Amino acid sequence: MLRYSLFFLLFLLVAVAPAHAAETFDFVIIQPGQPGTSEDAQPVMDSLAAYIQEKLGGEVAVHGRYFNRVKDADAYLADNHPRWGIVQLGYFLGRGEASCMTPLAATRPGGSESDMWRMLVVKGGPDEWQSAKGTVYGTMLFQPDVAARLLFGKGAGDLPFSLEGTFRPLRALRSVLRGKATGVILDQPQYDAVQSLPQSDDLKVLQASDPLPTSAVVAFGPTAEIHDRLRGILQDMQNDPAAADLLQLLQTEGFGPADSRLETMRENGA
Amino acid sequence: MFSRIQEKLLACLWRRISSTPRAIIWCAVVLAAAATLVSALFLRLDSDQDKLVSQDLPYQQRYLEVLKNFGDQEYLYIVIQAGEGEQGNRGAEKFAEALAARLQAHPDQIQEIHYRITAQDLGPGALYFASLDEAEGLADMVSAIGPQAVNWLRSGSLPDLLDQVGGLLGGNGTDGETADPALLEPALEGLDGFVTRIDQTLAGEASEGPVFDMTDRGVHYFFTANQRLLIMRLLPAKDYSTMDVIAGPLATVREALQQTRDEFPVIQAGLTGRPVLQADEMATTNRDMLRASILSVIVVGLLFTVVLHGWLRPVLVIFCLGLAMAMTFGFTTVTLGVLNLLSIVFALVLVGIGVDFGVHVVMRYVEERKAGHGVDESVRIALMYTGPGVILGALTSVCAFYAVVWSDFSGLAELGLIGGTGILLCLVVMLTVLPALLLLAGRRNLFPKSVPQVTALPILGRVSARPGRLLIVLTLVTLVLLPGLFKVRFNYNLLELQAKGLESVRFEKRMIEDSDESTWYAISVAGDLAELDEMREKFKALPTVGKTDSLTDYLPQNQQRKATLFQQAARRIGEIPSKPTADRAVDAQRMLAGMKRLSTALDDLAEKLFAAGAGAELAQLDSLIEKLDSAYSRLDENPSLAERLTPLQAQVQTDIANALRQLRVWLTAPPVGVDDLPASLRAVFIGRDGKMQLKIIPSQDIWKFAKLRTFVRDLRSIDPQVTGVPVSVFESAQLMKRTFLYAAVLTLALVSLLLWINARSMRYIMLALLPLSVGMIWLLSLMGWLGLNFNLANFFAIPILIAIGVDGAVHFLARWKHLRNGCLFRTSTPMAVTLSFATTMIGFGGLLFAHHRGLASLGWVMVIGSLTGMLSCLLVLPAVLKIFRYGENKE
Repeated sequence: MLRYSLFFLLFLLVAVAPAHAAETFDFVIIQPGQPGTSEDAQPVMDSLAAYIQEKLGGEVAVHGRYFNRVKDADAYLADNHPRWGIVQLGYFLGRGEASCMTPLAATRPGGSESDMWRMLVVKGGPDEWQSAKGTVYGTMLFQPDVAARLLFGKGAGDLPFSLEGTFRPLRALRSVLRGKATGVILDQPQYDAVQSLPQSDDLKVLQASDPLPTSAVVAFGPTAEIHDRLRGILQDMQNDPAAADLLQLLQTEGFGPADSRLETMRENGA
Repeated sequence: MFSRIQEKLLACLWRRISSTPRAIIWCAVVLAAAATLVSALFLRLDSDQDKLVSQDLPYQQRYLEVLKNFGDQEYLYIVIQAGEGEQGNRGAEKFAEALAARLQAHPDQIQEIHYRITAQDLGPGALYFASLDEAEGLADMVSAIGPQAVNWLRSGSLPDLLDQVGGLLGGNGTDGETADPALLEPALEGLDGFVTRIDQTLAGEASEGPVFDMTDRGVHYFFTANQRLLIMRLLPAKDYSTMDVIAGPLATVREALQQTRDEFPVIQAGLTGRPVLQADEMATTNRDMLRASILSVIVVGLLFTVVLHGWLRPVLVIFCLGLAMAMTFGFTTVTLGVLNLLSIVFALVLVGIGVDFGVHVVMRYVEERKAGHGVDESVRIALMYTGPGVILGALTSVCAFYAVVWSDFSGLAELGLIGGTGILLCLVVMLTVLPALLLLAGRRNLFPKSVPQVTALPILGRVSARPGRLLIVLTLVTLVLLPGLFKVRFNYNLLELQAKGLESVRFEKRMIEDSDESTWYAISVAGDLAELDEMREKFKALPTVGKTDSLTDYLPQNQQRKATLFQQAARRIGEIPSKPTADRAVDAQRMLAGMKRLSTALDDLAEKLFAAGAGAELAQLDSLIEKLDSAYSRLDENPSLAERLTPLQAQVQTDIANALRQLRVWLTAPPVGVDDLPASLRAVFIGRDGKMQLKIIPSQDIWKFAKLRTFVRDLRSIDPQVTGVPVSVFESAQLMKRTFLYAAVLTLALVSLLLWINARSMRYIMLALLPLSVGMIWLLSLMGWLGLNFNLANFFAIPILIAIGVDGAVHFLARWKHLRNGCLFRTSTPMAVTLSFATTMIGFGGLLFAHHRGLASLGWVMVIGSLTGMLSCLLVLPAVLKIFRYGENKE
């Protein structure tokens, strides 16, 4: 009798309890090298979570976290199981397979479907990257190997200079202008912003990547019907006036379909 | 009987002319000179378009009452196209500021400039005009910053202020993520001014005035709802004694606009609005008319010289025309005293019609001289035999003009009176002075000895030799053309009459397509606020109404909620120290530490902007950081400079105390009522009698008449008394069409009556009207095939064509009857008739090249109409006369 009772309790525990627990659809945004802290960004995460939860009809609970440090993001993913996220290209290529990420959609920073990375040095500096020495900084350099392959087609260890991730690319740029650093690698929005500064006249582009995918919206683990609904919600955001402020805070004009180049690049071991 | 009277009159006239030709000429010259003098002294021009329609019409009365009650609100509109995003808007704002500064230098020409409103303009309740979101953000910000500012006032130390600002920007003490990003730019601007003053003071550069000034805060520019266009409204000074009314202000605005465009080459901006469209229309019309007149004078002169042989005969005709015109000016001065925008064209009408009388007289004189008659006999025959036809032709033309004299369309009625009387004066001069001049010149042998060769058209005689065959061919041609007749429509769209490519038209269309604004709006008047609100809601519910504009539209929403927020924020500010803190010397080391902290905070902010790709804000911040670094270096190198900052510290204390007091006034103000709205707004919307106007802006392009009709009909279903430009244009356009139709029918009836009085024969009337009828059918058919529609500019051609169409037939019938042998084409009459039609065609032909599409279409209708009238007169009438053997049974 006791054995039957235990089986019955076990059955209740396994079969019924999950049915009563609210489903969660948590997400994580991982943008290594971006300014601020997780705490600073939490109000934005809460706003995005509330928006998605409302659009999903309130049937799931949504919470979000933001990380701009690879180590913190790795640690979080090791202990938690968010269902989806928005991840920087370098992080996707570096950790995508291990974290079982599947691209769902693509961000549109500045309305563009592609990003481009450029290595900038002072005008009087070397004329080709092979002659550069010293340290090169960039927000995307927290995965130096990935960045080196995308920009130079080699591993970070094969370059004549070292790559170092920075949270302060503008300061790094000023260091380059003062001759205290060799160069800086900028993504497209950063490069566009530099063009507004008078100092841009003193800089030159030494190396530029091919057009690259932008930060991706990904599913962690197996995808489900709710991920399809999420994709639709994200892609509709640019037409929703209520989402305008949120998109501005997320620094994207909207979301487009998943970038097919991501899978190719991952398969090619970029 | 009529013929006998005419005969006796002409015989009497001949006796007088032949006996005292000089006296007749001198009398006419003296009369014309007196008329010229009187006109030069007393005749004036009134170019007010509102006076073109009778002021007794109810819709016009209502419109004029509104104008009187609420003042002239016919604005010029500067349309500034804003670029993409916030940056684009800032560019448009700077353009507007620069242009306004230029225009403000001409208060005598530009009476009002509306393009923005400031917090100061809105009075104590200014903050209520913010949206609820903005109000919440503002209240949060005041709650966060206000107490710190008050705290700082207690110490009043400049280093402390830098320290606090650095702390705020670094995220201490406030929730930075909830701050409105739109506040960043003004915050940076304020900070930039502050840091600049520190740097300048340390550099020893003298600078005065407040560091923080609240008076220029909260500026709201008049963008359209979609933020694509910034609209500036300018009220020009008007001078109705000039043709173009706003010529001076318009030139000033265009010059200022061009200078501003040169200063901001990437920004597109243009000028439009009803007065501009009217002025542009007037300018293109004048230019086109001048070109057409010069062209027609040259071509007609050449034609006359060839046909009338030599220069003297054409000069005599033109001299007589000049006398008649001078007398017409005198008549206008004595009877009306004023010319309007329509009646001013009477001179052109006289050139087109009046000259024809002289042509008939001179052509007959030439024919008789060629036949071997003496001078006196030739003049007598010309007068006695051409006179009846000329009189009848003139009277038919007079009928066309006098038919509109009793119209409610005052502008046209005055043109009818002046034009009709002018034709009568032409008739009198051409039948008295011209024969007298021919007599004197002939007697003195001043005309060329050789005789003119081109006086007859025998070739047409051969064409009409087989009248039956000719009529069959013409009938077939008519049947082929006939389907075109049913394609002709009436186009009311006034914008489509304007020249293509005009800036005012382009920007008018851009406003229609790209915004919820319109330069045309209807006006409804309410006795009180309740009535205004009720009407406003009803109008807003109409699908044809885009938006309404009234005093209550300017009353802020959610005022109670905002009042609660503001009161809470005001309480958070606390007590503001009543007097500035005593001046203490600024400590150099503390100042350096404060600047360092601020610099670090700005640096952090710059990194965030850099990551977001916010280039413009980054550049602004970069310049600020540079100034801060400069100030830091100066003080670091020479700490004793800190004492220069003590007066600046006092100034900042005063500024911040004033700003907080102003803020408290705004935060504690009660909700805004109609009486609290700015005086400039109240002046626009509240009339002298205390009534309130409601402006109703259409949702569609009401330059299209069908949409205008629906708009006016919808508005009248709510308020039958509704008025404004759309209502006036709608009613006036219909009135014009009705007047023209009425004039055409009445002219036809009067002409028929005249013909009856002249001949007492239905057959005569039918024959006289035959060329006109056939010519009209050909004209309408050709118009249909050529895609030419009637419009408000060319419809007046119809009464004129009726008049001149009958004229040719009258001369043909008179000559045919007199000849009895059918050899019409051996005489000078067909050539005279051809010349009459040709002068009309040439006169109006110059308009074919007009830029103003309305004038060009008038030119086309007149040229085609004259041509079809001429062909039908030369081909159809003689053939019919032959078939019916007209005149052979009589006498």
